[in-house]
Amino acid sequence: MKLSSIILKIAEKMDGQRSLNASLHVLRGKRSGQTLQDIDYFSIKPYFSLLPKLADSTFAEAVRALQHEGLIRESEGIVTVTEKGKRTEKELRVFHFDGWNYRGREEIFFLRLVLLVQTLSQLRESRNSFHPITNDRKIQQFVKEVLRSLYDARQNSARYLAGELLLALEMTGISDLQASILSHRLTGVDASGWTWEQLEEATSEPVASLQLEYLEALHRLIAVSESEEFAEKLPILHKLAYGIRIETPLTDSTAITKKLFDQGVSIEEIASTRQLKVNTIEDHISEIAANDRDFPILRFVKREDQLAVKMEVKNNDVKRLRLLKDKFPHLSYFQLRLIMSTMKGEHV
Amino acid sequence: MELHHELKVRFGFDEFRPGQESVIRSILGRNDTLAILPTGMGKSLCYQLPGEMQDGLVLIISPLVSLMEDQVASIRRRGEKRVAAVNSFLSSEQRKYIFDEIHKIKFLFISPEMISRPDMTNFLMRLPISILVVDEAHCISQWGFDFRPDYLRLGEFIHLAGNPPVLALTATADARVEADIIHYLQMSKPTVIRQSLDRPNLTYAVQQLETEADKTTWLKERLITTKGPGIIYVASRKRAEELTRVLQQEGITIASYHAGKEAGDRNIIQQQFLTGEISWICATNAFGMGVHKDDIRQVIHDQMPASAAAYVQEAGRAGRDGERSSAILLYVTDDEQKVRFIVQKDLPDEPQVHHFMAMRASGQSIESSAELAGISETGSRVVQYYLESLTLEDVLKTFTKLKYDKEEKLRQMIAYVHEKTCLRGKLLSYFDETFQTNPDMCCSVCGTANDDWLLSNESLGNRRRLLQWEERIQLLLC
Repeated sequence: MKLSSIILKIAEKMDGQRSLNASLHVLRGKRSGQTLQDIDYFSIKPYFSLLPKLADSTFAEAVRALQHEGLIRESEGIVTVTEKGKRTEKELRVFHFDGWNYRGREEIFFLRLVLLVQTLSQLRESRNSFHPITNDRKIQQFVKEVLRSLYDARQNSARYLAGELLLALEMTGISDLQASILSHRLTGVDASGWTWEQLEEATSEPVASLQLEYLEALHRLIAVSESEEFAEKLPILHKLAYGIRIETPLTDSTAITKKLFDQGVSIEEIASTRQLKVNTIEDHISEIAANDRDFPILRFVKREDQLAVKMEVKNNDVKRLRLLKDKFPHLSYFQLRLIMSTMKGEHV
Repeated sequence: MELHHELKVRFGFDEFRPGQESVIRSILGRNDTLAILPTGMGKSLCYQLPGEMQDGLVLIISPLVSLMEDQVASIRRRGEKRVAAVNSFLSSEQRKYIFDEIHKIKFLFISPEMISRPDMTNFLMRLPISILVVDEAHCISQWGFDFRPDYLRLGEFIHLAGNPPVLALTATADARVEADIIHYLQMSKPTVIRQSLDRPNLTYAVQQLETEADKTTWLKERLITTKGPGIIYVASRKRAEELTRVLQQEGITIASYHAGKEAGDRNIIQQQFLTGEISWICATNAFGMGVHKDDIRQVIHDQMPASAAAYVQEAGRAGRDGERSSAILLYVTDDEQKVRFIVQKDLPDEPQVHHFMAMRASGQSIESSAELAGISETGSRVVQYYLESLTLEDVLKTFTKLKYDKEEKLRQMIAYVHEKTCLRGKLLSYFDETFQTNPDMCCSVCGTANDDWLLSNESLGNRRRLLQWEERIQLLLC
């Protein structure tokens, strides 16, 4: 799996409406009003915060590859997907990421799993003292709790966990390659995990591609593990998935703003109480709007303005804020963003 | 005698290792103590045992997060759970948890940077500290001056904390380093306990070669024909990666290790080395401290380290089990210049310091002033530290002296590669030691560095094969 394929998918969704940076912000999970609105509006939530540490250079390289193959074009800062690009995009398989709900926390799940597998593997050989594969105290404490809850830890838990893993990996629908990557990143007695380079050598797939395959596989494994439906079949994995999904999609800071906002405090007052810029609070409000179907947009925009903008978007397929701003100079960018936010679910 | 009883009851050992007992007696007598014990001689027991025997908190200042975590883990493994580490990687919430529970903690590990923070100093100085331990105390001298100035501020803290007994631990310290440690930790009438650095089971060799490419060729041949486990120390991440790739192509089971690698992979590589799944590690000096592998047979330096102390420390990771082992240093004539550049690059010169001051005076931030003056991040920290307490003129003088000191240390290594009498004798002479008897297999200069015993092709592994995922899970858990 290539990063460029993921970018192509995002570009296709935002075709002709957004800059390259917009895709980068989505992948990194930038929490600005604009990005949060984009992911909603263009239905690209699964890619949000998929690669929080994505480097500029890595992104740029993938973009260059797309341009070189003539799949995308960039002019005046706006990305369009070429006919060839559209055909290519259709031929790509469906991706099953869930960046919006996990946002990098999938790694916590996997570390818990790695440590539990290592511990049970050691206990099975009656070794109580070994070098833990992670020194992260939080992970260690969590796994210790899980172990405590497994009576019979010494004898059968290792086999139970093996059974759960075999079943869960089957249920996820991931490829054999993906299951192979996941299982070889695990460590046991005399069978340490494999480094990415070692996996690259054995599979002849580049490290970057393997890591994306791993990420998708992990998202699907967590989805199966956390599901209440399978909790009885996968009791240990269900415990490991505890607290991984983002509970409240709002940032901490936005949550504070929401509290004040719900009490009817105005944006300017919130900004001065919190000693933040008005712009920041407006970003928070956009974030709240994007996550709340019952957002009281009338506090900010008159109904006739909403209708006029929605008509314009529908009839002329204009989604770029700057173009909308030209058309409706009396509305602020903030107001336009809110209108766009509340349009989700209404098909254009 | 009763100390032996404590040792047996608390740790299950019958005997102390050389040096341990006198260190522990000295610290129990509340004396400031400097213990110079070779790697692998059980330094941590020197504070663990008296710590357990006394009330109060043992505060251990440690240079590396990985080292701290490793020691915390090892103390936990022996069943002592009253142990914690505070470092910049903890969230404020985790840190608060430790502070709320501080009365339940016996051993607290902390970095010098953390201890220098005013809130931290304030909190820690009020605690009943039974022993203040400075682990890897040579860092005061090796790093303090040009890398981590907070090491030099430890003395202030010790004073504020009411001068608890200080235990400084290190594996290597010549007279200079010893004096630095005593001075900067403000130790009063310290007991100095020094165990010989001589490692009779190590055979030393210097291998002079013509070109860089020859080094690679030599290493290839060496690893194909001799056995591990072994470490190759290189000077840069780039070299680590490149050399590893070349050697892998020869079928040698080897992985590279440096600070730029992903954390998951670093842990995996350590694990593979410990279990013997790979025979070799090709590493920068980021690898080693806190790695407990006793049966390392070879340590090869692709590039000379910056001082004899560093060399002794790194080479000393071979043969901790007491079995015969080999320490080889590769050398080409250009190496001197390369190492000199690496060693000196973080010390700003006079025009740079003037430029920095001018930029600061014109209202630039510290970061951009340093950048404009072409001073590295490390360099700017050093400049700041010295400008706090010295005049510009004295700062410049200090830098000149530091450069000179570094050059002196480098000269030790240069003299080592050109040594005509005995490599072992040369190394020991830097620490004011001489050795009693010359071992059978002493060094390449004595002409006794015969390593036929190392001949073997067991570093060559089969190409790793992926298992089917179902098989892999069964292998791990069934």
